[in-house]
Amino acid sequence: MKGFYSIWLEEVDSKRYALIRIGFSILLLFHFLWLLPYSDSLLTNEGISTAEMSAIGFNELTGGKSISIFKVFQTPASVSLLLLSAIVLCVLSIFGKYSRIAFVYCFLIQLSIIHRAPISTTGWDSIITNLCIILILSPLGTNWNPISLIKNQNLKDSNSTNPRYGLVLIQIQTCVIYWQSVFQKMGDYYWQNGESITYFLLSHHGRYQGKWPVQFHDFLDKMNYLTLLIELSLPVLLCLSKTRFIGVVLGIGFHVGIAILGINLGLFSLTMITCYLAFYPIWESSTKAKNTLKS
Amino acid sequence: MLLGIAPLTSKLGEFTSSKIDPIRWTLGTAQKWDMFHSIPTLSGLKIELVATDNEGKDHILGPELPELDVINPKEKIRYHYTFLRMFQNPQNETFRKSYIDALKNSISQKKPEMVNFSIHLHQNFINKIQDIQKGSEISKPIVQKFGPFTLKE
Repeated sequence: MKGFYSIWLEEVDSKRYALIRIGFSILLLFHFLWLLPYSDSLLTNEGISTAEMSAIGFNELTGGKSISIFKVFQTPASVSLLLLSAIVLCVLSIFGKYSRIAFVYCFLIQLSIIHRAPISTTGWDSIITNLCIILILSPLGTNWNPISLIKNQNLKDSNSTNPRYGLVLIQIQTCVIYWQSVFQKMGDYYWQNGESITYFLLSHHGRYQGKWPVQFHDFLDKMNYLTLLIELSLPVLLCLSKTRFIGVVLGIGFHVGIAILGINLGLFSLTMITCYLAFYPIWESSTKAKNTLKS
Repeated sequence: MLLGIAPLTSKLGEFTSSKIDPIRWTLGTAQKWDMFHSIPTLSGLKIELVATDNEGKDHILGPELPELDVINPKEKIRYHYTFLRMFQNPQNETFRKSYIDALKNSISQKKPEMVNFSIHLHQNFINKIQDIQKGSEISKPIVQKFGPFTLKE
């Protein structure tokens, strides 16, 4: 029972929840802004599929039942209005206003997008949806806004704390992403043969076109295995307080690298970097240790 | 959510996936990580609609509805996934039929002089790395054609 309490319910500074709330709200803001140009084509009855046909297609593809809001709102104007409302709520949530309502609303919109256009989803859609569910059920540190957080001045209650279960769930989610990804890659021909990074850079994902990745294939072959090693070790590095700083630097560097070399993966990288906020503060334990040593 | 941990490539993953996927997808907790392990084998994708008017002349139209705009799937990655899944995965037959019906309506309204159209999927398949090292091109173009679909009887 003590172990359960210390893992899930131990009180942590509400600033930690404020940070993840602000980061996730910014991520959602970019996500919905990025979706706007697609909305007429993918989410309305004037686009590639009617709501009725999408519901049938969703059921055939997943076995699930489509419960999309876009069954009711089918015109370009109404769909745009729903997305714009989500964007406004994201902005308010950044400043700690209506955050819970914002996340519930954004979850419903996000779920509706997946149900309305399942063939158009990306990997980070799943991560965003799952993070939304976790944050709907978590404390949100709404007594902090970005300015008070930077100045470390909270006029309402500077010593407020919250149970840590929400942060732990996001940490587990992050580890699951990396480990599951490695398990899948290990069974893949291209990853086994060290060709995946070269193919990635030559592909539609590659920002810099040309044959140059082939010239560096020997180096990229090693990077292929190094990537697997990084993904395998990141959860361990992030979970252990002594190695967390290394994990965060390595992980952020890894995702910034993907965003730079990949032309259309910026939101994926931003999504993963947002997950890292659940591991903040990365220096807590080492600072404590240093203070202990000094005293 | 945690039931999504089992890799889909394992028997346990396949079993749990088949049983709980419908619930997970409905509730929004489904986790498919294929984007993190799949190898992109295409260096480019272009989708064109080739519509023929009543004088037999071909016209190139864009595939984005409702305005039949030209798209660049490299920049708008969701379209890359959408069109590949729609035309390469038989499971998405319903979406393909719906798209073709929507195209029929849109072309009939916006270009009433057209009598039929077909969809051309220009895919550039990346050659083997060893072949590129020996001097061959990065990719080999392959065009898949769907149609023609009649607009007027």
